[in-house]
Amino acid sequence: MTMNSPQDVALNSLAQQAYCAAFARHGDLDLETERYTTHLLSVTKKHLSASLSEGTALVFINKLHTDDLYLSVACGKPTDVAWERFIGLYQAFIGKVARAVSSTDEAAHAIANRINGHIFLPDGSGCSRIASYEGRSSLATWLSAIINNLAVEEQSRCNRLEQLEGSLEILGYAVPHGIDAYLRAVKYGSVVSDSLAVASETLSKQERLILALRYEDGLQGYEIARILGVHPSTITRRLQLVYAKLLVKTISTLESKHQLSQLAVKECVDDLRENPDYSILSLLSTGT
Amino acid sequence: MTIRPQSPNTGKRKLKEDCPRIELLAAYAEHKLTPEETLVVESHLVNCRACRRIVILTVRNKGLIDDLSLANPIDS
Repeated sequence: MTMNSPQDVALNSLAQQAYCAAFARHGDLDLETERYTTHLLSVTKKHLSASLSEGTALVFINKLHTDDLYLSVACGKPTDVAWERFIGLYQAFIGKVARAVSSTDEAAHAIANRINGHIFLPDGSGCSRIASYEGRSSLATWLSAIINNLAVEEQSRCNRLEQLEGSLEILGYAVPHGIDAYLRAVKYGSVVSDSLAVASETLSKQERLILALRYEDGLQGYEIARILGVHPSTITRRLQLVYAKLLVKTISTLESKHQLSQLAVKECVDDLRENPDYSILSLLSTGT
Repeated sequence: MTIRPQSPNTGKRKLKEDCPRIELLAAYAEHKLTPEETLVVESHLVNCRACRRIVILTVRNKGLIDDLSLANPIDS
């Protein structure tokens, strides 16, 4: 894309419009138009690269949070007036988010204090972290994600990640484990595990993600729905579909690959339902 | 069918793999990624509990983010 192409003219015009709108919102942050437009067009080119055309670039830019980008580029320059604007807008928000993800006020305070250094001080490349903000999400969401990342790292460091206890069971019947169940598991354990693994390969990436959110992170359906941007009833249906897929494919594999009789397949399904050793979570690491 | 969760430290899943940048996770939390980018991020999230945790917390913080937007509306 040459500097004098009609595409460049149109994109530069759009970038300048974005600058003016951001200026109207945030005021004069001592940021030159050219610095802002250069960064905006750089982000556009980076994400569109080979598919860059005027149409796609315009759509992409219109979806960016260009007002937030104006503030972040000014902060990255940096300018004192941009710092003041940022602190005025986001300092209280940073404190609230830090408190929401921390177990104590002390931990929240520590994270909030780290944020300013984390995003404003230069990293190894010499650029401040806030200069890397690209406007694809709101600046508030970006800050929230950074705070959450620090909180997760802190939890990992202190070995205070929450663990989900217990084994995985598919409870179809309240049958206590006894010698019969043990013998059945010994007899069929390997083929059931193999058939489950084959069945798990039919799951899509999103289905695996739903299972991970539900059974490893302990999220309820409505929370999973918010993350995936769908209605909660969709998650309910998807989970039911996943269970059905796993069961059908497992039975099919037991019959075809392992040549089991109908009676033996029934015993395997009973074992699958009653044996806590079969973990749906272990299936998530199999397959592509 | 009721499924109870298992201790997560089974299998060969690492806590942190080749994690995407925070910008991508933030954009994913706002549903701003392209379908192709979404597939890449969700494929990573299946096996990375740390990144899932970041996304979960970011989505849960949406109320605070919305409050901030209400307090500082866009003028233009």
